[in-house]
Amino acid sequence: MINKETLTVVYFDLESKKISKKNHLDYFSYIGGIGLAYKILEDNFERDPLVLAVGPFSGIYPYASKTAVCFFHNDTIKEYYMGGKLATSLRFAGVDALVLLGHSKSKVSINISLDEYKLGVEENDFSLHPESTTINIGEDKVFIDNHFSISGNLVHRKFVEKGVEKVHIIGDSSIDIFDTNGYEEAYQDLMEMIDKIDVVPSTFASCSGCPVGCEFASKGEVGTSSYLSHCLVSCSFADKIYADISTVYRCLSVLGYTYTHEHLEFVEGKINEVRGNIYEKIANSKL
Amino acid sequence: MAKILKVTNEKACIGCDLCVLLSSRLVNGRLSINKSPIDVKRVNKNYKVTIDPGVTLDSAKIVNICPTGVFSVEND
Repeated sequence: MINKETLTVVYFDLESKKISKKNHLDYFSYIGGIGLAYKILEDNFERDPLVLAVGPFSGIYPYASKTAVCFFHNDTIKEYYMGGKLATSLRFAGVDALVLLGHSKSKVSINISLDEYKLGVEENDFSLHPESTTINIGEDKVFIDNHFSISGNLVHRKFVEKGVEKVHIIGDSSIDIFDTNGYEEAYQDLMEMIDKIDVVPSTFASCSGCPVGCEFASKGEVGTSSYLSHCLVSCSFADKIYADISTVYRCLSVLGYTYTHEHLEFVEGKINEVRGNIYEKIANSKL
Repeated sequence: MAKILKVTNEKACIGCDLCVLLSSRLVNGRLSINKSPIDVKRVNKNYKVTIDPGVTLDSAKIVNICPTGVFSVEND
């Protein structure tokens, strides 16, 4: 299921324990990933949001294998990119972004599947779901499926502050392809661009959707790619592929998205505008 | 003699899921993880790859998309 005109955001209020899902028409032009995450940070500034956001290619095209993780720390915006199966599972759970608002006084777990969201302390056995992914908040690191992580400890610290100890995601939906032939051709062309990937293919555990198996997959990334790549949440090593507007436009079109060249061209400006708004809010909050 | 797809080099699997998504597309016409005839699951530090024996797949396409040679086509 792909929503072609809105972006689906699921909000977990960790204080009131309320969960809500919104299909945001107003966020559509931010595409996903970092664009979507920044807009959510701006609109939920007062609630100390922690945002996990994927892009329109997550789980659908190769190399779009990361999840943007954004939050505030010491009056700055922090952005990280985690790998593993997280992005694919979120996509197949029908979620463009998962937002954790406020803080829970007791430790809680979060379960997400298509149209079913739970927040509580109960432990479920997900071992029978090959399509499931678990974010586990360990003693000093955050792990995805007990392997993929992120450098530094700020992401871990933020989850701990929130009171979240586990997030389970079951990607149990199916996705229809708008233009099957166009999709097959675009997919094949992307696969043939593998020599544009800036890392040596190897046999390490790979992020879902990436055939490269590089040694860096388990370590996560900080933001170093183009804005467009970060909106798609592709691996930074695939920046040469997904920074190209023509390629991205074609891939979006065969999925049925109505994004125009202008959307893709101007998203950087929109993100910078949002970033400016956020830092203005931070400055005002200090007055 | 019928040719069938087999997992012959499971230890080479890197968990990229390309076979999972392709086989879902080939069989169901839709992208899916849980309705795919191929399951790839991380078990300890390796991957467990299983093929639904009741489903006929375009074996060559699955063999070709795997970057590490997990699959092969063998006589039934």
